[in-house]
Amino acid sequence: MVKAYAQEHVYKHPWEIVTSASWRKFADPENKRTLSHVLDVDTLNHKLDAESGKLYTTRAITIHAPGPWFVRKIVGQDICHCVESTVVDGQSRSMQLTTRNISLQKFIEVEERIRYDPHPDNPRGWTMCKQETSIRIKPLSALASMAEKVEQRCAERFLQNSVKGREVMERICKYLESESRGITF
Amino acid sequence: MSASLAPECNEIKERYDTCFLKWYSEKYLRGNSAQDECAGLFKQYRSCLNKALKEKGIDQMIEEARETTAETDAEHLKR
Repeated sequence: MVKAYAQEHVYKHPWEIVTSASWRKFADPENKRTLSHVLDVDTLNHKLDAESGKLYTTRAITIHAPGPWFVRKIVGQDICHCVESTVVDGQSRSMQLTTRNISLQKFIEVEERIRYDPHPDNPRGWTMCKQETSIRIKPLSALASMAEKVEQRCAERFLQNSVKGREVMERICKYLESESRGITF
Repeated sequence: MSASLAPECNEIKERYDTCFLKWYSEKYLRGNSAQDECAGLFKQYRSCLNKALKEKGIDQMIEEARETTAETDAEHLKR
């Protein structure tokens, strides 16, 4: 069983502002309160490819993911470690993030992909965000018998977190724009 | 700044994060990214983190995850 869904959102801000906001999403106290499920974020790797100008970054993200009591009994923990890999192509103005869980893999596989590209209707001023999420309970795991229910619960939680994520992004974009007024990219 | 999973690395992490955010907006996005100015800070931060990851036993998990994702990410960005 796999639960997959896609979302799109238009940020009425330039790609440069939106991608800068993405890097700042988990910082500062106000954002941390909104995105309280994100506990720790560490950069594991960071590489700039001189030829292509692409920036490759890998981060470890620790999430607080409490499930209902019957899941907690089986899974035994509330913390999930994830790895987020990002590629930024500054020349063609495209950014892609992929986040996967690396712990709890015997129970669940979650993958979330986010892309930020200039919006086709307004490439200089707007940014299109496309997000795809897939959630799969491992078939032979102890959670398999309630897979559908757990996948549904996860999807609901992810959607809630996506809304919060967008709120935080919009907030940061507005702040960055007011800071950089007068500076053009 | 976001917390590190290794609290002892929070300070160096904050210095690296600040450097990165500044470099990204002021240099990388303007096409002046020939030099990776934060490399020195990153090295210090990473070596602090390595110890903690090992102690927590997740260093192996992370290495394996990184190896498998590199290829698929390159594929997807081509889309």
